Amino acid sequence: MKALRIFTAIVVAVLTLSLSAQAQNKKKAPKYEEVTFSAHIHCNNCKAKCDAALPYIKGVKDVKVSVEEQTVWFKYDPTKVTKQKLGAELAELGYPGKEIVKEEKK
Amino acid sequence: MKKSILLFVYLLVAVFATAQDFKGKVFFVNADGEKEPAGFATVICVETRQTAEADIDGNFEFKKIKGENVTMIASFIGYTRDTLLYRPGITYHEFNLHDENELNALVVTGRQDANYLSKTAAIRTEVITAAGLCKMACCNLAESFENSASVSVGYSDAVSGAKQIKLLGLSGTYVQMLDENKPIMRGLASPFGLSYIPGQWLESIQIAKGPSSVINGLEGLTGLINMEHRKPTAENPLFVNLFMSDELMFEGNIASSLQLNDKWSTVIMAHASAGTKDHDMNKDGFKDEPLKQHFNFDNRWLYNAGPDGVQVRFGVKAFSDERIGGQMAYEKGMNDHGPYEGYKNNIWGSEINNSGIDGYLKVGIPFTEGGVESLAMVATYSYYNMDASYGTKYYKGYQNMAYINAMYQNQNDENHHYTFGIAGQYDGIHEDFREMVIDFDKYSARVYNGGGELFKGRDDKMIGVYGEYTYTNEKLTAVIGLRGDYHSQGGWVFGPRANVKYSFTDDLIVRVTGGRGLRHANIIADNLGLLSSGRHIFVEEEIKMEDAWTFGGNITQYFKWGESENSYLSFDYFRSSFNSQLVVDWDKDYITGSNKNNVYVYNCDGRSFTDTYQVDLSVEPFKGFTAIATFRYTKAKVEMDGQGLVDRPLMSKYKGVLNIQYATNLNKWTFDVTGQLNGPAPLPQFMGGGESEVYPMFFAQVTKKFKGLDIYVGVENIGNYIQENAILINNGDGLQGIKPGDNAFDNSFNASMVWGPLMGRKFYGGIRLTLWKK
Repeated sequence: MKALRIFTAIVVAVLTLSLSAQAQNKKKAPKYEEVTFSAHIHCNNCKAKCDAALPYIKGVKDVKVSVEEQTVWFKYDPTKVTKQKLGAELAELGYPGKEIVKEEKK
Repeated sequence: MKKSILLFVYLLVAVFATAQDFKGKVFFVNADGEKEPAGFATVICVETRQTAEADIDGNFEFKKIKGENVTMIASFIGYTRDTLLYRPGITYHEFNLHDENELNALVVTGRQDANYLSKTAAIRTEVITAAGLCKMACCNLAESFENSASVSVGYSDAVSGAKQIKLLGLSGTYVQMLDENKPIMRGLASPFGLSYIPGQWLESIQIAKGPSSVINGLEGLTGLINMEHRKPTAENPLFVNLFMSDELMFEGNIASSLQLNDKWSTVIMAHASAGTKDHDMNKDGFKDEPLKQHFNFDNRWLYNAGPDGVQVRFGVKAFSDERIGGQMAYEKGMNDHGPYEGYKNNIWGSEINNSGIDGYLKVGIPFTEGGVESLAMVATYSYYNMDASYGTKYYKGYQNMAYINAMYQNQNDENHHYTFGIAGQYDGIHEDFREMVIDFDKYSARVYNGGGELFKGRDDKMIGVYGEYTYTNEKLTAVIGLRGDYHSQGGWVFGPRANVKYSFTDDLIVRVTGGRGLRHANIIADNLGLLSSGRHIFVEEEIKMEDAWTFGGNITQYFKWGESENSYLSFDYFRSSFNSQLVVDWDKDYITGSNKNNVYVYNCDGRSFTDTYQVDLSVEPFKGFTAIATFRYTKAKVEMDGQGLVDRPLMSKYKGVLNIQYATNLNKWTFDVTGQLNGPAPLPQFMGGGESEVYPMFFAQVTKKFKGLDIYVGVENIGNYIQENAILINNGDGLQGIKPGDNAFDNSFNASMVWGPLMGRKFYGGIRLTLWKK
């Protein structure tokens, strides 16, 4: 079963690749900052629009757009981009948002 | 000192505040920004599971909130939610709910899963989303099912390139195809229909197993496949897709969604594809796939008068397709002067020209807020023309079909909904079938028309009435429907259908379904393989309406594991059993020892049934890595004349699919690998009986996303598995695979015994360019 061997090889390659990517994420994680905006993202169309644009802002490492909570969460590299810039990019897409600040735990 | 007093006062206020009640008010905000109280809106505290209902003036209160950081969400059906992150100290808040533009939009949070099982639908529904459609090149609808074990896709024959699907161990002709809930691909349009829906035009596909609603008719015996196209309201003024494979197959798609003002919007979609080079990898002298030229155009409009106003949708679609198949030496036009010409040159060829145009109009009129009471109407018209020659057989057909469906929906209260409707349908199918019988001694040909006047098409007018009642509460959804259709050919037929869903918990869902389906059979269109054989087609009797009952159930357990809260394990069982079915019998002459070598078509008077079992598992063990494993087992039996109850020929007994995907952060890179294990299919007796080989298939694709641009490359059929001897012939020394030089005009010629892939390993690449509205 040559085909089976090829398939197994690909599966292993994908697994290794994803695991190493995971490991890299973990190493770099502490340097990044997070911010959540509340914005009027009320339909999948809005979400699709955000998902298509926001990941490509320089310095953005991760994005979660939630229709249910009407929020946009960013993980970003503060040396490359600022909160204000992210807010402005969101507004430019048509979703002006307010930053949600969570209470610090005492 | 000052500071500490301030701090003291602050603390006092804070303590005092936490002891206080929380009060709030909920408003509806319309498009102009005007507010009005949202009476009876629901407010929930997510973490503490407290709920409250607003009074008629929109006011509500919580006596005590049992947490410090609480997400408080106000909602009302048909409106957007509004969220407050509650902290001690907040005593009052106003919530604003906005009109939701798309009432029926599925609300999905987090990353879009590629394939999933719907939690809300009462019918077992598998959804292939846009993300799933991008997992493979998915040039057309037929190819988008490669990740699914529920649906298997195969070739109708080894000549025409037509693909057919199978669901629940039965041919795809028993599945009702819907385009945004309008019936499509009926009659002559069914054999090639799947190829005429470009995958890149689609937003999602829903596969529902078992008899579903009676609203769209009774023609779906085993299930229903609905496809959603790109929407006029999508904010994509331009989408371009280009695709190319190593076999010089090209494809281009372009789509544009334009919002002209706040009421009118439109989407325009165009497709062109061509297979420009013929090849013969298995060296049998025949083109592996026909040369193709396909053009397709679709324009859809939406008029939306506002959140509670009239909605009108209409559109038009046109396409043309040309295919040239057969022996390598066959060139376009050779069959034009009759097959005798082809015979004289000893070149077997096939030419297929299909074209069609259709239009539709949909109107929805809501009478009350949120469309609870509403009237909806769908009307469609389609024209389809098929002109095909296969060696010695000629088939020309055209059809005019019209359909209208009007329904009224209302509810007694939130738990009891009902729908009543009336529908009309006209099927005008004209067929002209001829077969040349070549006299090998006299070098002459005469026309033989197979089964006499039985290929006379159909002129059927139908009028139907139906009612459907839906009961819903928190745990239970029951949909019960009854429909009666009067056919000018066939008289009255009745079909009851029921679907029940019960959620034991939020994560454990059980569904039970049952009902009847009925349809007119189309001898040639449902069995296109009849044309690509040298046998005479012999229709033994008037074909009755096909009539089957399908019962089944599904258990789905969702669970949290790894990264996903919606991992699931699901088990299905379905049984379809026919009262009457059209049977194509290739073995009758073999069994009786007759030397006629005909293929027989008749009504199955005995038993015909299928049992299908399926298990699905979907997990996301760590971020970005998803795995979907599914396995289907089918037992399909049919009683044939003189043979008793036999396994249904060419129906594979099982299929396993494993799809794994890894997407890097932000989905910038996506890696997809799919493996299939295709089980054996019983072979007809004349081929020696037994079963076909078990074969694996592997697919892989890598997608890189840039802003507004996706680039993908992939390989299909990595193992290069090809069915051997897909075209059979007996030139005196037994039935075997055809070779160059064999006389393809012999009546033992048979290209319709296809159970496996006909195309070897294929490399491809493409781009998708998407512009977003500013």
